[in-house]
Amino acid sequence: MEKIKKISISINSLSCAVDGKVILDDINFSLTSGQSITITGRNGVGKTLLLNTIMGFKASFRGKIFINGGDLSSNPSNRQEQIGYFGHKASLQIGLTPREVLNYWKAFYSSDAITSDLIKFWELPNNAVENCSKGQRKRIALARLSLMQRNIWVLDEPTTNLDPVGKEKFLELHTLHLKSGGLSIITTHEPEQFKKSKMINLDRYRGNLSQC
Amino acid sequence: MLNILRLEFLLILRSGSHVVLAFSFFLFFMLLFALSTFRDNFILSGIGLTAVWLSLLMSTLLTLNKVIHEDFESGVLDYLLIADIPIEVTLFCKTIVHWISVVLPLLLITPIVLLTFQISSYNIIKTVLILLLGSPSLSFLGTMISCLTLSNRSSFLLTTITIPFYFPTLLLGVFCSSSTTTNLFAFEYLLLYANTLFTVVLSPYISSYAIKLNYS
Repeated sequence: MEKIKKISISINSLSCAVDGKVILDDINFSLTSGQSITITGRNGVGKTLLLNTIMGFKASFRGKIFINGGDLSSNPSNRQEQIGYFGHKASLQIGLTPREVLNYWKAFYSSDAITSDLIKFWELPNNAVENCSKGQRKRIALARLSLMQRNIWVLDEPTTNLDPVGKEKFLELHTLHLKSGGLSIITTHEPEQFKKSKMINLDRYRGNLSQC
Repeated sequence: MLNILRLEFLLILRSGSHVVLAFSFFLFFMLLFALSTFRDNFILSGIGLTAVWLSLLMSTLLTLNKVIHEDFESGVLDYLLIADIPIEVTLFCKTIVHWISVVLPLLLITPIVLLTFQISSYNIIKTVLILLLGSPSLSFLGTMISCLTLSNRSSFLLTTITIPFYFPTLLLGVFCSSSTTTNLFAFEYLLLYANTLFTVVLSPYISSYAIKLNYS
């Protein structure tokens, strides 16, 4: 995370649809280095949908997403260079141990992070992921987020299932990330944890469900 | 890429029950074939080459949902898509590992199993060689179809669509195995090589395209 340059993301009148129904309508925000935004809203309002749209996992949307001024849909490779993702599913290979999981992803993200440091930091156990609790799985997934070494963090409820110590560790990492010039987009039900963060409540952006 | 292959092998090692399944299925399928044609030695040696291709095809089919469907359901595929390694390379490695872990062990026991069909040792060596050259297309076609049928959670579509796609390989394989020519560059062999090369080269690209379609 040392060599972070100036970075910005801006979302211009983004509307997301599922099965032809507009779920979210006309969302605008922009962030630059050191800023973060928390996305709140009741269950099912489309928080994860918004993140998936930014990640390119769902493509039925209108509007534009710019990273450093470049349109994301015309050069999707920006996503590979900039965005670090943390989804609501842990998405781990349950047969492996945490160390093996981290080594696996280390290769896939050509990362130079040191696995044993991450294991020590997150206090990861030495048994198969299969036998890990939900909180422990979250910790492994957060360790993977650090492995990615990307400038833009897109996080889907990073603190649920974490114990107070884990939350503290995560918030510490997050502050460090912002200080070193990164930015983050976070969905959460506890926005008060992220001090100095911008806020957006999706309840106000609900699309007209009947219309295409 | 070697590193990725190593990691994929580790995954198979830790959660590779399908390898054992394919292996035992192949073994029992072949032995049942041999046992059920006990009446006539002539039929037995004639049917052996077809049986070995058929059982190989069926046991490969059993394992296909492990190549990419599992990663899709657990969400691992999301993270593979945004990784620094291009998804085509990942898919290529996954398919190679599938071939080595599932198909190669079957080829290793083929000579022993074919002995029960009373096939001459020369023909056995030839058949194994042809299987070695023809079978990669089974894995690569399988990956392609799995990626096309990602959104179908039960592997119903995967199975029904893959079988017709396996047909050319099956026909070419049986044709080559029963051909009497010793020239390895005869027309039927060339067709088999072409079939393998074609699928090996095209599969990663078509698979990654199918995955991206599924995500949009």
